[in-house]
Amino acid sequence: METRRSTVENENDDAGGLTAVLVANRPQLIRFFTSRTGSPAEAEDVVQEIWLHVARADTGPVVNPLAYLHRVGMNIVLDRIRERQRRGRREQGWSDVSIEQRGGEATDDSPSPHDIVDGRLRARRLATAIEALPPGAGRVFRRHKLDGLSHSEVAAELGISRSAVEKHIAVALRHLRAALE
Amino acid sequence: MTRTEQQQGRIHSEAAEWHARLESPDMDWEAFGAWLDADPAHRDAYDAIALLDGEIEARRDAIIAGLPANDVDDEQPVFGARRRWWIGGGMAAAVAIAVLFVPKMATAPTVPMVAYSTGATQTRMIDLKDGSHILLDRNSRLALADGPSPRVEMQGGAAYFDVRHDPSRSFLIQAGDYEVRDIGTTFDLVMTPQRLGVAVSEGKLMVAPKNGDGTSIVAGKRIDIVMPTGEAKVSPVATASVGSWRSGQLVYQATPLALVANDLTRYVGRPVIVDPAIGDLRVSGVLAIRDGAGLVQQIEAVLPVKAVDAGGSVRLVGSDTR
Repeated sequence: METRRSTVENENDDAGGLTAVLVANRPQLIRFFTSRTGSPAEAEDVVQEIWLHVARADTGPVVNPLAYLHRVGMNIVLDRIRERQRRGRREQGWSDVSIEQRGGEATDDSPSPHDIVDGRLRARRLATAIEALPPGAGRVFRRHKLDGLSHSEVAAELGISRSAVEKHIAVALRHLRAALE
Repeated sequence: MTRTEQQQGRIHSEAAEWHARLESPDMDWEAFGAWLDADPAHRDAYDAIALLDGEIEARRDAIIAGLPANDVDDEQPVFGARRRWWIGGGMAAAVAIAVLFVPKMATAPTVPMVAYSTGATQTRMIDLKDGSHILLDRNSRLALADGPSPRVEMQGGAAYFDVRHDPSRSFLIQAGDYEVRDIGTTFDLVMTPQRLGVAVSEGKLMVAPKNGDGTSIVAGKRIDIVMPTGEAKVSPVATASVGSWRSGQLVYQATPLALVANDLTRYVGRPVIVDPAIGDLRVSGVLAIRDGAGLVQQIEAVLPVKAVDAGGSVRLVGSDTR
């Protein structure tokens, strides 16, 4: 099904190309995701999921395939952390919330009204913290995170360098983390 | 080991710097790995930053609604910069303004429908503004109005939905003469011109004839509807097997062949039709999708069935019928 191009030189813009890059760099990816997760076994799982993702995802041309594979894996790791947290919370919740049982099945998996209020409060807290950011960092952060401009677009708009954009974003994230602790 | 506040602060700064650099063309992944390895506290600090960043993305709309409009604090906008502002951020700004000034627009049908379709070899992930996701399977089509109350019009094929439960808005899927509503869950939806199947892996939802009374389907159940007759059947399903096509497999437990044929149609690229005489044959096991071409042979291998090429379609008949 794959359409191979006649030019063999570095065609990395299809799934086949990405898979080839993954195969060629597998040891490096395993090493990196072992560092990222702290577990060689989880690194194996993550790299496997990256492979599944690129084998099936609808990606356009990828400029830097190896960096792309790393970023896909970073998202997978984050999803796994979230899933673990969610499960942890749910198990904890079960100790003090009674769940409606029907034929042995738990039927109430939706967030409680409490969770929803929590979500609103949380969004408000985030908005307040973003508003309180230092002006430079705050503006860059909002253009990038909330308005969806890329780093280079923000850089062009504000007439600053890409690395200055990165610095502003880092400052913003550090402030937000401290504010929301 | 206890750390001074200063040390902690330095670790958090470094974590934030690495995170901000991920998209950079000269990101040094090996150096990042070395930094993570240097101290377990580095990984924790990085997790916290990445989770926070992800949360901001997920709650983007709610946060924007809580902020003053973005251009209020823009001092002396230069014409050029101003213009780019609108080109680059026009859509986001429009969304922000809609949320700020007309929150009651929620139900107005002003959000355009966007059509998505996939070919024979690709799936497609659709990220909704509220943090919900739809993974569209191969050879599938849907249209989406991604407004405050999202609407999906399923047109054919399969999609796996991961929808946030939020009673403050509605999320509605229309599939032929049926609709799926009251959704707070993950589930798989398969549609052909004749049939609609919804299998729930988490939470619950309501499946109903358009504007009619519905049937509640909870995790571990599936409903299969023959659309022309309205005949519907609810049966158990292993939650782990729901939407298994996402990992390249089709998992069946005593599933009628007629339903399996719906899936085959999607991957083979031609209608797969089952001789009514064997439509009730049950399939149990795991089929590997790969490029779809071998699926019919896999069915022939596990069931007393043979595939007959019938022009534009594939017909499955009992292997002892001549």
